[in-house]
Amino acid sequence: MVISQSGHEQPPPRRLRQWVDGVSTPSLGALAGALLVVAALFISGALLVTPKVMANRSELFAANSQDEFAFVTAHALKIASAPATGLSVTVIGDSSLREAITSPEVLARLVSLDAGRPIVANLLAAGGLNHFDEVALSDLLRDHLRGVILLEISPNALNWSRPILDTTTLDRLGFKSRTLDHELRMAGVKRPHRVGNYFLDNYQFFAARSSNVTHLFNASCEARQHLIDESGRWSDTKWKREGRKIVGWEQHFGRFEEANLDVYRRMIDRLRRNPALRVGLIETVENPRAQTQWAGFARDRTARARYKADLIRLAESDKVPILGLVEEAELRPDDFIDYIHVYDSGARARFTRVLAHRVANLLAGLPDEKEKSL
Amino acid sequence: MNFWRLLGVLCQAVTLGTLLFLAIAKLVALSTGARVFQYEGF
Repeated sequence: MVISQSGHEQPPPRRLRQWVDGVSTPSLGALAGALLVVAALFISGALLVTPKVMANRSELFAANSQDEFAFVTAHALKIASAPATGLSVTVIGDSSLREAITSPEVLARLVSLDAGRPIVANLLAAGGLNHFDEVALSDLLRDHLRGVILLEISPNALNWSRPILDTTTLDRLGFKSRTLDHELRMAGVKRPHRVGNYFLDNYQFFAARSSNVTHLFNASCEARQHLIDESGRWSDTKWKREGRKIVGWEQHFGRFEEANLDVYRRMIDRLRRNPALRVGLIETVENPRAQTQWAGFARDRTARARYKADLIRLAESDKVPILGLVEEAELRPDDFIDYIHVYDSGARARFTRVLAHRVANLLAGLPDEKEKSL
Repeated sequence: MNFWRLLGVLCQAVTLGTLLFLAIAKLVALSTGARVFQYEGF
């Protein structure tokens, strides 16, 4: 019971009427309060949303279980939040690697068995992840890893041009990298000034996920790896139709391959500043059918020949191992759902086993524990 | 001002403020082209 100023008790219906009146009547006080709430939420974001929160509560920020860039961001920030201790293998690439590897846990187990010591596996793969994303990720992780880091390379990556950069979302990962900004400026892309606050610098990443506010009450979003399992296998018609599109992507190959190779060269050089890290490149896992299916396209033949020559040059000039595992893993056209996505679980197991063996060889000679300075 | 009315105004301010914040975020996303990237190559 509430006692009114006149000393009389106010009955509950009257209190409710007053509350409803306060809620429903527009007033200057409510407007001022609303603006204060906006300011408070903005300041709270700037103060409370940190890389640590992003790393540990990815389910709050991921739009759904297919929001791969949010999960890759969270995983990378988690690795970067601690100093490197044990040995690890980190694979950075696109959906082709995501689908070809059975799981990071299986990869870790196989590498550990082969190498005879415990190894952790990190799979940082997302559909459409390109070598500029690799620059940002490798820049973030370089000083927090010991072991092997594998960066995906593909004909498509060497074909990247300024027009493609302009029309592709560049700020897909939820962190900023000065090295990436530098690389993009070299490619002629303007980059904004950074204010030094995680939330404000990544406002586009969070603005795109503003509808995730409901996750505060129902955060049940978990990352899934083999997203392609829900797709249908390509028909012959689709092979013909998509062939034209994919070969069309190769139109800039000759003009920009050297500039894109330089992006890889600089990335490899930067990673090698960490002496406890062995750097390798891993080729896109391409369906063998693609080579024969699109052999009629002169542009595709030329691009493939130049790409192979580029890989040999890169391997020789930079002394970097390049893993092309399709033949070694005996992947057949029927193992794929389309031109780059492995679908068959047996094929995934073969690929993961071959990859684990190659990684174990690369790990040879690296000490188990970080040597403590005296 | 009556306590219950003040509470009502406060509820209105919190609701409006939250919706306004989300609307601004959506507007920023639309104007900058920010989106949740999901590969749709095929």
